[in-house]
Amino acid sequence: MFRTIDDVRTQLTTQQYIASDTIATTLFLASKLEKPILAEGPAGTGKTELAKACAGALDRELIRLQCYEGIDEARALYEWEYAKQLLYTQLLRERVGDIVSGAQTLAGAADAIAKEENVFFSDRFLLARPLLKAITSPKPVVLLIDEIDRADAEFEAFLLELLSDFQVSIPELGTIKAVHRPIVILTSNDTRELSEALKRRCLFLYVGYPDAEAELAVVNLKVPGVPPKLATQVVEMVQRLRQLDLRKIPSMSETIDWAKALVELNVRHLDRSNIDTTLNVLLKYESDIQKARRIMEREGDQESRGARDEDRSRGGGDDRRDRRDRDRDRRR
Amino acid sequence: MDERLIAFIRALRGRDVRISLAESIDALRAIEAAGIDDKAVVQAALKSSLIKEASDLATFDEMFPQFFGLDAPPPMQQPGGGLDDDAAQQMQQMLQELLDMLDELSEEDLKRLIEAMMGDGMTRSELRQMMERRNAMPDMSEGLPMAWGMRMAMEGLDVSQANQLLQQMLEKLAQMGFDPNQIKQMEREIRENRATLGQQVAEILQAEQGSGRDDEERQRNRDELLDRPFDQFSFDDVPNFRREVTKLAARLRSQASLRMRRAQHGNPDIRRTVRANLRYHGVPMELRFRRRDLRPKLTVICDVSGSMRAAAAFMLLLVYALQDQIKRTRPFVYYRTIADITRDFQELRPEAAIRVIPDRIQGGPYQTSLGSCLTTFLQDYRGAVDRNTTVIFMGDGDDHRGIPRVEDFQELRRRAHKVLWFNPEPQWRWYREDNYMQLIAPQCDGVHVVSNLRELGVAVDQLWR
Repeated sequence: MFRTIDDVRTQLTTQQYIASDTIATTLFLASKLEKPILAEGPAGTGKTELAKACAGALDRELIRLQCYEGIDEARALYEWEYAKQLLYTQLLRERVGDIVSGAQTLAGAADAIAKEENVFFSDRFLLARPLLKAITSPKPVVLLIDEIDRADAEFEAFLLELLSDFQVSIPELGTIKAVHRPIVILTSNDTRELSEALKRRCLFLYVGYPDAEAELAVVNLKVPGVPPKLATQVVEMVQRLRQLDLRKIPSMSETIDWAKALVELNVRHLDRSNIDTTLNVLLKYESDIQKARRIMEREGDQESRGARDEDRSRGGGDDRRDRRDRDRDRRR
Repeated sequence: MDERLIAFIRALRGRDVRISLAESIDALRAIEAAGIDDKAVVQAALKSSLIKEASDLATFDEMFPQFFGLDAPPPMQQPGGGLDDDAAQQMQQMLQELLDMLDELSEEDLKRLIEAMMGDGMTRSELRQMMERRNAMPDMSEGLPMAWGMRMAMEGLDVSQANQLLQQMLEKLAQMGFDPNQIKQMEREIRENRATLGQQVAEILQAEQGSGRDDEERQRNRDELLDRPFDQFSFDDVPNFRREVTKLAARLRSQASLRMRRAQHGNPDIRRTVRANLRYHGVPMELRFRRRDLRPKLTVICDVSGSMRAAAAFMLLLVYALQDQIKRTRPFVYYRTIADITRDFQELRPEAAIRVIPDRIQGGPYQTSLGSCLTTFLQDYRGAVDRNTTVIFMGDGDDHRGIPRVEDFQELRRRAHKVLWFNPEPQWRWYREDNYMQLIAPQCDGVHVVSNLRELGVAVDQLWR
C-alpha cells in the first residue's frame, strides 16, 4: 500500500510512469479511501498505463476487464459451467442411484437429490470472470475496467454494487464480499456521458495531453537512447500538431511510437525528409498527414525566406534565385 | 478548514457544478487523508473528489484560489514612483495632508481606499470586511447580474469619492508646476490600481454568487428551463440544456433496451432449443426464443434553414445526445440540399459540431427545399432507412422551392418502421404560405409540436410506444 503521496510518485517512476501531482494524489486517495478511480480523457494519454504501473508498483496482479457494447454479467462476473456440471452428473450417476435408492416415493427421491443440490451449484462449477476474480482473489489485486463508456448503461448500473460495497450477489450462492478490496481504475474516453451514480462512487481523474515539459520527460524515460535534440524536436512537433484542427490529435503513446521509430531509423535530428517518411506513425488519417505537410511546407518557405532576407541584409544572396522563388510563391 | 470547504462547495454549486452530499463528505475525507500542508495536494484532492465532469475543471481551478489562495494584496502600481526626490516629497506631503483630513473626519474606510489606490493594496479579506461594514455587499444569490453587483459594490465603497479626492490632489500638484506628463502618468497608475481593486471586488462577488441558492430555487430554474421556448435560449444556456437533453436521450435508451428485452421473449426457436438441450439428453431444460433484431435505429433529419435557426441549434444538441446514447443513429441536416453529419458528431464536441454543420450544406439556391432534399435523401441515402429505423424530422415544414412530393413521404413510410415529425412551431402557423405541414402530417405516424424541452420530453417518451 502507498504510504504517502511522494511514495506514490516514486513507486510509479520505478514503473516508468511519470505521475503529475493530481495523478499521484488521486491514486493515493483511492488506496486510502478505498474508492475507485474514474480516469477520463482522450485515448492514448496513459490511463490504462496508470493501472498497469499501479499494479507493478504494488507488486499486485492486474485483472483487466475490457468493456464493449453488449457486455453482460456472464462475461464480466461469472457463468455456471454447464458442461462440467453435466460431466459430473454422468460420472456420479451411480452415486445418484445410491442416494435415491432408499426413497419410497418420487417426492422422497426428489427431496434426497435436493439435499445434494448444493454440490452442483458451488464454487467448483463457477466460472469466475474478471470482476469475481478480483474480489475473491486471496491476494490484493488491481482491477482495471477499461473503456467503460463502450459498455451499455445497464452494465454501468450493474457495476454500482461492486464499486460501492465491493460485493456481488449470485442468486445460487448469496452475496460474495471482497476478501481484499482491490484498487479499481475505470477508464473512459468520454465517447458518451456516464451516469451520475457511477461518477458519484468514483474519484474523478482527468488525464489530458501533457505539456511539453512532461511529454519530454516521458519520451526520455520510455525511449532509451533517444538523442536529446531529437527528443526535444519530436515533442515540439507533436505539441504544434495538437494545435491544428486534425481528425485525430496525436496522443502520448503515438509520440512515443514516433520517437521509437525515429531511433530505430538512426535519426539524430528531425528534418523535412525524415518527418515526411515517418509522419504516418504519428498521424492516422491521410487528410491529417496532408494538412501537417502543408503547414510544414509553409513554415519551411517562411524560414527560407527569412534566411534569404538575412543574406540580403548582409549584402549576399543571388538576385536571380530570389526572383525565381518569388515567382514560384506568387504562382502558389 | 471545514467551514471554508463548505463555503467553497456552496460557491461551486452556485456556478452550476453538481456536487452531492456524498461527494462533499468524500472531499472532507480526502482532505483528512491527504493533509493540508501542500496547497497543490489539497487542490488535487478536492478536484478528484468534488469534480466529476471535465467541463467543470476550469470553474474549479478559477474558484480554488479565491478560497484557498494566499490572502496577500495584489501587486499595485506606485503612483509618483518616477518623480525626483523633491517632487516626491511634495507629493507625499500633500497626500499625507489629505489622509490626515480624512482621519479627522473619521473617514477611515475612505482613507484606506485612497491608500490602496496610491499603491498600498488591500488583502481580499480586508476588502471583504470593508464591503460588509459599508453595506456594499449586494445579495448575489438572487441571480443579480455581475455588472450590477459590481456597480452597487463600488458605489457602496465610495470609490468615486476617493477618486475625486485624488483628482483634486493631482490638480493641485499641476498648479504647483509639476510636469504634465508626470501628472498624466500618475493618473494612469491610479486608474490601474482602481481597476485592480475592481477585480478584487469582482472575485469576492463571484464567490458569493449563487452560494445561497437552495434546492427549491434550483428546481424553479429547472422548470423555467424546461418551459422556455427554444428561440429564447442563448448559448450560455447550452450546458444546462445539454444536461436535460442527455437525460432525455438516456430515457429513450432505457425504453429501447426494455423493448429489446421484451422482444427476446417472442416465439420459441425450436432448432436452438433442441441444440441447447442436447446436454440434458433432450429434456427441454432451457428454452430458446427467436431473436428479432429490434435494436433501435434512428435517422434524424434536421432543418437548419434561417427560419429554424433559433431552434435548430438545440435540436442538434438533442441529435448529438441521441447519437451518444443510441449507437445506430444517423443524423442529417437539410436546407438548400441535404448532408450527412454523422462524422461531425462523432469527431467533434457538440458546440464545435453545431458551428461547422451549416457549412456542410453546399450548392443549390439559398431557399429551403424540403421536397428536393427528401428526393435526394431517398436516392443517395437509401441505406439509412430500413424496417427497424425510426425516422424523425425536426423542422417547420417550409419549402420555398416547390411542393414536397407526397409519394416520397409514402415511400419513406413504407421503408421505415415509423416516421415522426417534431415541429417547433404552433399549429396555427401551419396555414401560412410555403408551409406544407398540412400535407406532411397525414403522411407521418406522429406529429409533435416541440417548442420547449418539456414538449420534447413528451415527444421522446412517445417514440417507441
